[in-house]
Amino acid sequence: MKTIDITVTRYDPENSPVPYEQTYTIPYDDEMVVLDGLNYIKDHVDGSLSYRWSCRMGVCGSCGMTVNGVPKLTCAVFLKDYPQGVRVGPMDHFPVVRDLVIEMDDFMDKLRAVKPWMIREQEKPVEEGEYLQSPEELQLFRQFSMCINCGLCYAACPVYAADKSFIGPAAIALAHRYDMDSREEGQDQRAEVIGSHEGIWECSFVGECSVVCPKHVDPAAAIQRSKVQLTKDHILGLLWPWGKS
Amino acid sequence: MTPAPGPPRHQPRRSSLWWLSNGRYFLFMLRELSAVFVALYALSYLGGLYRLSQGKDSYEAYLAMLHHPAVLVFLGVSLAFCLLHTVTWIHLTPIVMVVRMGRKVIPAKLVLAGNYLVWILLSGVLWYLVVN
Ligand code: SF4
Ligand code: FES
Repeated sequence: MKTIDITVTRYDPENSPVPYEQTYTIPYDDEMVVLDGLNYIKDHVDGSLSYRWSCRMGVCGSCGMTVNGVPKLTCAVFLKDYPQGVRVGPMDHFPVVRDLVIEMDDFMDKLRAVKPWMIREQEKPVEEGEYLQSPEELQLFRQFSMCINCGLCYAACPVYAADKSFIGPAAIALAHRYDMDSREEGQDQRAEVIGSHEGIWECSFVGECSVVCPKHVDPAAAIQRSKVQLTKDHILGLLWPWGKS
Repeated sequence: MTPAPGPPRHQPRRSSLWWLSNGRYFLFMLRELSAVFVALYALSYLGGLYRLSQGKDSYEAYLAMLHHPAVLVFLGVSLAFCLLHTVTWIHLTPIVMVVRMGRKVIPAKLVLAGNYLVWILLSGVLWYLVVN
């Protein structure tokens, strides 16, 4: 069987205040993804290695790590694509709890901050039935609803690296998903968040968030389109101060 | 945010050379830098117009200066950066703008082609005006 070197960043605050690297040489075949390699290490070589995963099929978003310098879902990249060996580290720009496990609280807070739920000025009574939507209307936001909250886009974002108060790619994409929904009436509430100092205007359109996103959400597009929309609303507000409605 | 309980977190620091870590970051930095050259070129062009307003001698001295090797290098580099600036921004437009015709969304490639067409047409018109 072929073997491969997997070099893993270890962080064990009880014993060492600084992270260090450890290399494991393990057997592998063409079907093994990087996560399988980590599981092999944990099961057969070193049970102390810590990392997160759950579904092993690109759905839960919990296995995000840095693979050879690039944020990846480790269950979606194959060992055979790294014949020279692979370097696995925790996702960049997040505090590290242990080994490859990062703290996502800030990310989760930001997702919540954009009010990712349906906001209606007035709920209609249940007897009146559901809020209907055409396939074309769905198409306007569908891609932005595909996010699995993996956080890879934050690990790729140099703006978030420089300023942790930036609301960031996934949260703005999520806001845009609701803003574009034909059943939605909470755009103004969300504009207060994404149009703030920490919102869309911080983005300098590096675009790497969209490159690394495993679900083709394209947060960079969501951010730029939100900029266009908010600017339009602002100008309309100046020209038409009586309000949009 | 209150710090979570438990052992200390490691806060990794970003290297100041992060923009060299992949080609796309590098291209982004070049795109940002290109704005400086676009501005410098615009200033030098305005300088030329000013010299033109000062009379024939002044303008001819300006034209002669344009042939200085250092100026030629500056113009070459500026041209490269202006092209990079234009092409990269043209490629970003279909991401920013969703163009709709009725209920249909115009494909990104068409928007891109339209942008290139307008760019080439406008450049052609300018070329024609300058040469004639
Ligand atoms: S936008 Fe993409 S990269 Fe960012 S959290 Fe969602 S799925 Fe992950
Ligand atoms: S383990 Fe669920 S996305 Fe990788």
